[in-house]
Amino acid sequence: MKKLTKILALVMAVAMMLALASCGGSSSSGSSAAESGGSDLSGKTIGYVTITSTAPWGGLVGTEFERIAKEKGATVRVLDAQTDVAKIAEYCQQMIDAGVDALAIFGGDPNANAEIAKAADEAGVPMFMCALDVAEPGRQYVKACVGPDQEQMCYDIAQYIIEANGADSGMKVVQISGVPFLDDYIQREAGFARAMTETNYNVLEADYAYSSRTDAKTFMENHITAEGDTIDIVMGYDDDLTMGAVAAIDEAGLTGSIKVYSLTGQNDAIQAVADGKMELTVMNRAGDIAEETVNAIIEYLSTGSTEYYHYTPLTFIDKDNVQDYIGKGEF
Amino acid sequence: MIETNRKRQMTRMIKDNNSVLILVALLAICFLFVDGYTNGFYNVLVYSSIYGAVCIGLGIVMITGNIDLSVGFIAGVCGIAVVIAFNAVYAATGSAALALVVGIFAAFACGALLGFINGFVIAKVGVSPLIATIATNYIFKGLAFYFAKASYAPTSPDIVKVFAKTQLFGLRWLTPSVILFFVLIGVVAFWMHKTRFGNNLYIVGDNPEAAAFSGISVSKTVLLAYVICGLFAALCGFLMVSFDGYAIYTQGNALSTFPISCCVIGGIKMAGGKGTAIHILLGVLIMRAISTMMSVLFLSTDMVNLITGILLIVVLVIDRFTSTKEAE
Repeated sequence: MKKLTKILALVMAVAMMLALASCGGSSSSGSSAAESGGSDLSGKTIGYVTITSTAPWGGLVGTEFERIAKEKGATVRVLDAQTDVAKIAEYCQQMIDAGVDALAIFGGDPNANAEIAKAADEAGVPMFMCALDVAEPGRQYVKACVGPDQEQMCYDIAQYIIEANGADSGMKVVQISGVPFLDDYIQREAGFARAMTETNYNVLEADYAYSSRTDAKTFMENHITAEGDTIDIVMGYDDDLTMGAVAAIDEAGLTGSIKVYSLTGQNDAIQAVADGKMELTVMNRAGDIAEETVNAIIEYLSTGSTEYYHYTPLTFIDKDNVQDYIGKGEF
Repeated sequence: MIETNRKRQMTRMIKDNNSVLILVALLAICFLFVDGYTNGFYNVLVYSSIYGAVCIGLGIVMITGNIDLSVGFIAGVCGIAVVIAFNAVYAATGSAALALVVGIFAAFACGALLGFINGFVIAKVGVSPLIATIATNYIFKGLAFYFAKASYAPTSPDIVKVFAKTQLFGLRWLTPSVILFFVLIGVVAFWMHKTRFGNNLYIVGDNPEAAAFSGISVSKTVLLAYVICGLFAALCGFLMVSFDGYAIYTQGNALSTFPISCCVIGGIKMAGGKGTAIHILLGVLIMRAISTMMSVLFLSTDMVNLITGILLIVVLVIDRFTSTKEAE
């Protein structure tokens, strides 16, 4: 029996190693131009390193990027750091070592990404930022930054709130945010905070629910328990999390008395706007960012340059236009 | 009779050095069948040298029959301490060298303190090491989160990066941190086998009651093992800052299961009393070789998670099997 166990463990280990060795490129999706019909990136290998492939919106940016780049004839290599910022650097170096023709990064820490950008530039690999920017010292090494102006987006949402509720109404605001070290959330919170300085609102410290709608719901339940009907506004920095807060508000029978504002534009949030459970969501299409990143890469690889900022469009969805968008979110 | 003895000796040798065989087989497979592995191999050595220190510390604790699940966040907190101290001293004096010395000292002081807290709660208060270090892991994670939600970089980073980023003789795999790691393995191997305290670690891990009867202070030995573990975690924290160029609270996350896997796959027994520094070295190299293979192969997230999970089970099966065998 013991002998059998030993043999089994050995066989398992060897089989696993051989299986690993033979499944190289299982997530790297090579497709020739002839197969896909595209030619802009034919013969090129594009690396894509992401901080997460499991969060709904972040995952969609990746899958769309991969799909579009493949359609253009590229071979796409994908590595997921699974929210480990340090892994982003390791994986980017791996991409550089593998000799990719261009490297796109989604997420991570801006300072860390600046270091990576420098290394990529030294290795002659053009680097592109997807949905967020690098810290200022790294910009000279990055070829393009694609996505909405995160800071301005949340500044504009805050202005929308101020316009609807008045600057001097002393509203109490609960903030539900995502991952504290991810630059997109940092920028969003900064934009909101910038606008809030022009008001007398009582803005509470942000709660970080990471990628968990359940945690967001728990945070909101705690706020309702602790502060009851003194809460006026919830600002959510991601629809998926905001929907957790909406559920808590709904269960507490406070729908309508607490106004909820958010962004992403996912289907259940759009429906919540239609149902009067939310005031606003902002459509920030992952597909637009993915497509524009691929376009920026094509432009750079074919001409040797591209403009630094490629801003993608945003659509404010509220009760006035929500009927046009029901069911038209990306997920 | 002679042949039987020779056979036994051979079996014993293979059993004692099965981690060497695993490493050799793994590297052979990688180099022969995995495209791009040769190019990415330097990663194995460089990353082993960055994260290896924390494995040495944990290995010492495991030899005493204990465990430390908080070791990753001790390293994380110590990395943050390096940057806080460095920046404060640099701002006050303008001397990067002085700031570096103080930063390193702060990391070690912090590591020793956090290790002492673990050791005290476990060895003196008597809380189970598993429960105690799960609890302190939360505390240390909270501390790290409080001080460095976003990246926190040294104001004069070049001098800090010297240890992990300098390529000696133009070789990518030869950095001061790599040399330091191998030197440390040698020193710890000597210390554990040639000093009284080193031997006490094994005796305590093997049979704490017998150790107590023979006059060894079990609680003091365990407490010191945790302090030493904290010091090695501090070194790891410093090297992470040196390598990454910044500290951030998530750096501890990267070390949640890695050190335990390294120690067990290398040959440190979770029951205690067995294993050497060389086993830790082998374990670290094996785990990094596998990790590098997964990234060189560009495996998808689900595959990486699946393989990591299977690997942990295989590691625990090996530990269980070899421990049972030895008990017989």
